[in-house]
Amino acid sequence: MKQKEKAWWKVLFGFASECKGKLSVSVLCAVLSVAGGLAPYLGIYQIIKRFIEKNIDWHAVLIWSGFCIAGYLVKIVCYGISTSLSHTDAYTILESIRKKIADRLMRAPLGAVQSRSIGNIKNIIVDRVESIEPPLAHLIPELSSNVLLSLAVIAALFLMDWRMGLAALVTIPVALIPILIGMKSYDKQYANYMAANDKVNSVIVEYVEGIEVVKTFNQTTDSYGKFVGAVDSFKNSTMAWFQSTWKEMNLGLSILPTTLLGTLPVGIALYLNEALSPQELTLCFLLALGIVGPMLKVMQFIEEIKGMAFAVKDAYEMLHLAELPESAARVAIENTNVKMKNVSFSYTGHQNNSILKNINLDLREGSFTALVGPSGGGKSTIAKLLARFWDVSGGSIEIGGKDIRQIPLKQLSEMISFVSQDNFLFDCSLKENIRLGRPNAADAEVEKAAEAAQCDEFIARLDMGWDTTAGDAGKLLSGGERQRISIARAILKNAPIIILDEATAFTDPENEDKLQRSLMALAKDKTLLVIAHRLSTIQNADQIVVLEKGNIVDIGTQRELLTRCSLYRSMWKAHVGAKNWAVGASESIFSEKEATEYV
Amino acid sequence: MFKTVRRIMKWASEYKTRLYLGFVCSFLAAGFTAGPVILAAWALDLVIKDSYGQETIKTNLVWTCLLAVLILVFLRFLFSYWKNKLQESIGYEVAAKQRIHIGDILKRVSLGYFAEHHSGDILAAVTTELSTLELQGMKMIDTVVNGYIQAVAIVCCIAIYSPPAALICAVGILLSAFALHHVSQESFRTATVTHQAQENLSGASIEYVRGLPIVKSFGQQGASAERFHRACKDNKKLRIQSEFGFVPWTCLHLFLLKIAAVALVLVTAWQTLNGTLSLSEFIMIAMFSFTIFGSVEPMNEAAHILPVINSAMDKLSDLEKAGFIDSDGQYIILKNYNVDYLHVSFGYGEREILHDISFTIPQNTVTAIVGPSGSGKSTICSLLTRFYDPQKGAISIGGVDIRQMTCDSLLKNISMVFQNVYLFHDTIRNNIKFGKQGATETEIIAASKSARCHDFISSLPDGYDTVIGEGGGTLSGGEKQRISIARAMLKNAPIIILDEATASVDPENEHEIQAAISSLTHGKTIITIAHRLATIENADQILVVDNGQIVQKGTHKELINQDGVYQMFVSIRQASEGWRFT
Repeated sequence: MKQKEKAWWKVLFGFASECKGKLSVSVLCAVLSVAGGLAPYLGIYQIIKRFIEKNIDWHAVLIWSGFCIAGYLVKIVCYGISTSLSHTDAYTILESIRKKIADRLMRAPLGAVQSRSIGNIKNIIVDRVESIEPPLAHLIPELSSNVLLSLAVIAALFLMDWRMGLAALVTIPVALIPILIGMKSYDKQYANYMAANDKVNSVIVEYVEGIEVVKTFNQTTDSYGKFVGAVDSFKNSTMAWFQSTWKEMNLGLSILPTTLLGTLPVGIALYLNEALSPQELTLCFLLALGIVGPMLKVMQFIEEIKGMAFAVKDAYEMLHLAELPESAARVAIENTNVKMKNVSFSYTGHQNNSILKNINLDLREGSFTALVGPSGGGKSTIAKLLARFWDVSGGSIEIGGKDIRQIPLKQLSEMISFVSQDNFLFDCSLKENIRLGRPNAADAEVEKAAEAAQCDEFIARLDMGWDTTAGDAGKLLSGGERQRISIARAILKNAPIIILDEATAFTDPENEDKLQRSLMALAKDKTLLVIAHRLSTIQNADQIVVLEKGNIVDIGTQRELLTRCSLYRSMWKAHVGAKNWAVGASESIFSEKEATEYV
Repeated sequence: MFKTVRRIMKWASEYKTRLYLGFVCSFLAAGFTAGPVILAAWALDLVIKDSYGQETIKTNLVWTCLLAVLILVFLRFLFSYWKNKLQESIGYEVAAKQRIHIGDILKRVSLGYFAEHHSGDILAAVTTELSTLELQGMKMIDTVVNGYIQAVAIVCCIAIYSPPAALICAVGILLSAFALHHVSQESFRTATVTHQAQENLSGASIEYVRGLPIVKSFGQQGASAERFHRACKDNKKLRIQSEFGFVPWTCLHLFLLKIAAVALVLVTAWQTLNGTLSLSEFIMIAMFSFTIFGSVEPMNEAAHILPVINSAMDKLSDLEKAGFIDSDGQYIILKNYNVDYLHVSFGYGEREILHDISFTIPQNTVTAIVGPSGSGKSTICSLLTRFYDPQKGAISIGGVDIRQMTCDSLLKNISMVFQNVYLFHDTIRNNIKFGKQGATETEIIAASKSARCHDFISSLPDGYDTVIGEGGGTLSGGEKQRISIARAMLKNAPIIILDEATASVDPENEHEIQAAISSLTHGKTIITIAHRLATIENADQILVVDNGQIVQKGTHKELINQDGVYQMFVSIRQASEGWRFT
């Protein structure tokens, strides 16, 4: 299970393979560009040399100036080509990372995906991945060519005189001392900065989202203390970070590009020892100046690479979500009796923090089962395991005698409709949203399903009717209406097993009756598993399963449980009391007698 | 481009002295960067003269040069460090102040502002846009201002030796500015395209992730993945296109500068051949030709980024221009809490939602507002808290028109319990304490006890210090609702606005929420958007709202025997409250 984390750059270049061709051209152009950029140094050297040697004429000046311009032209045109190609590549790599993440999300257990906030996932797919682009686009061609150029120049210096070569290199070790000191805590500081940045942004987000609460409760004209605190601490941590490194980084960056620090005194000394002629000395100085730019670029990249590594790490986590094992061959299933055998479950796979322990439960085809119990008892976990949002940690779940892990997900999904409170609609027409339940359904069937789910009334109210897109209708539809669309979708799908979160019936207190009718239409003649919250709605269930702390306490009908299960009885009492309560009245008084009368 | 620079300078005007000192440091740092090159040219000149036998140089020139370069490096370090310290930090300080300032503003604008300007855009302005300004603003003005100061200085220096060479430099800089202008325009043009591309991708990602459960349960994996893939591909295409738009102009900018550099060498060489310029002067200028425009070259980045900053500043200044809803209000202490609506009409934008509403709520009574969805029930409540102001008519409490009051003095008297509980990502204690600044621990616990949340809070490992929303501290909807009620308890306002749907947040623990609401509302003036028959029947007054009008008014007994909306409403409610799966 635990695999070693791959180095971030390996992850990245794993994606680069598909644009190898362009990438090579880009690097090649970058090298040409750098070589072109060197030509003017040679050109100017020739002119100066001739001046020193006093054999200069106007003609030579023109020729060598032309040479310089040609060099610059090569440099800039190749740079343009190289950067265009590398941006293209970088965006292509981004695209494949994003697709790969999406693919992984699809194949991971739904439960694992849902345990993250959508905002977080979006942030990684869009923003974090995006932040890889600028360094990536510049890194490939520019870093490689600048390193190459620096090496070539240093080699040239060595060829002229090895001492000059060393002199040109001297600033590197000297500058590295303060730079390394400054960078020592970079990872930690960067992480701190990112954390403070996230914090301040999320505080602003909640400030705006909770503005009604802020207005109602925050009675002074000043902003909420937490808001001010987050803003200040972000400022302080950022400043502290920069201030702690400015000294070292500035010192390093002042030393590093001053290649004349070594070459100037050494060059003069060598001239005095007659090892270098004035012309050669001129060339050395020019070359020393020539590597300043590339060296600075390389420095700048080191910082960018760090930032990029963080972003790739975030993406890496997404790219390696565990997959839900999938079996390929469809299996023949004769009936839809559901059987849970010794099912246990925990998110970590460890027994000691199990959410469900040893659950044995049969759902007969066409029967109605209700799961009840205090919150956190495991009701919705049972439902999610049946729909394979997660796999069981122990035991098995069978449909028609087949373990659901042997049934391909597609086939399993055909058998089960899960209606939850999440009433998400896709940004296409309402008709298409419903048709998603069965893509080959005829318009008449879609309309029939919509009618059964009580959607026809509010759809008629929309100007565009059926063809209104969910996005446009967004503001016009209430939560309950959106819920009814998703129920219509499930009705159209007509799966034999329905899992239902009963809370969906109460998402829209203003139109409860319609929602209730649509649920009835959906559940008709199906194997029904209801996660129940309000006991009165499920009194007619064939079996009521009372769950507490991951265990089944009792199974029976309403009457049986009222007489023999004390947990159920107390829940029932609380429920009936709640039904009779009123805003403004003093606390509801409620007797044992009324509880039984209610049955 | 220059307009934006001026704008950023104005933005940071509070720190003017530091800003200008920063420019000075930056200029000096650049000067000291050029120092070693001048030194090398000077030394080379000596070497040449030595080789001609005109002068002799001694070994101590080596040491002089080393020392001089060391000093120059140190001075360069010193001034670039000071520049950072003085100038770059300004961005962070101004941005922090601005964040807090905008926080204050958002608290005092009408809620309509958020609907009108989209919360998402407002958020983007305060987070992303302000960050761009914060991170890039100072760097960019330094690039531009110093770039041109240095350019001018260089042109002046060269003019001393060779006016024609100076002229060439000036022409080169001016021509390159023309290319920059195009970079800047291109950036302006693509900013919206890029923004749109990112928005689309965000939308597609959210739809993809949110749709996963549905897609999976309906076996539509392929179609959904395809949509997402298309969004990724479109994004790629647009981004590449906009990148391509920049490249030619950036290249032209660089090339013009390079041509100017070569022309400089050409002209000075010609002058040297003529004898108007000495060899040493020529060598110096020729060596300089490589770095002479070093300060102008990075400006293409500035030209690229400044329009982005400019549009960020546009958005921020729009936010700051928002008018306070209570700008002409006064701090008034109310004598009683009778609420009066007099011929109130209101609409969001053009469409009128409430038409000529009038009613009176005597203090310490319960008023239930009932009616179909979209009839205007919650709008009526939003007007009482001045989240919006009515277009016609007036609302008064205790005889005072609420428009004469500041939001602060008005909202002191009102508590709201919302259907969507909003708790901050903070400790439970701080969330409750939000109801009353400076509340003592005893008060907080007393409020929690009355709101029926003390017990479950105490049972959490971190008790009142549990941070809401973090692992382990995940609370059920009902528990969150009770914490929000504790917050309202602590505020102890005489008027309470309550959406009764709150009670159905957590059906399992409905009775606990109800007990909490009962203690909150005890002895207060209550306005409730009611759904439950029991509540409605017990209310002192029922307002039946339909299509933005009050169609019936009275007690349950009075209304139940009249034909009308109320009768119908009650019968539907009876049916749903008795509903069960069969």
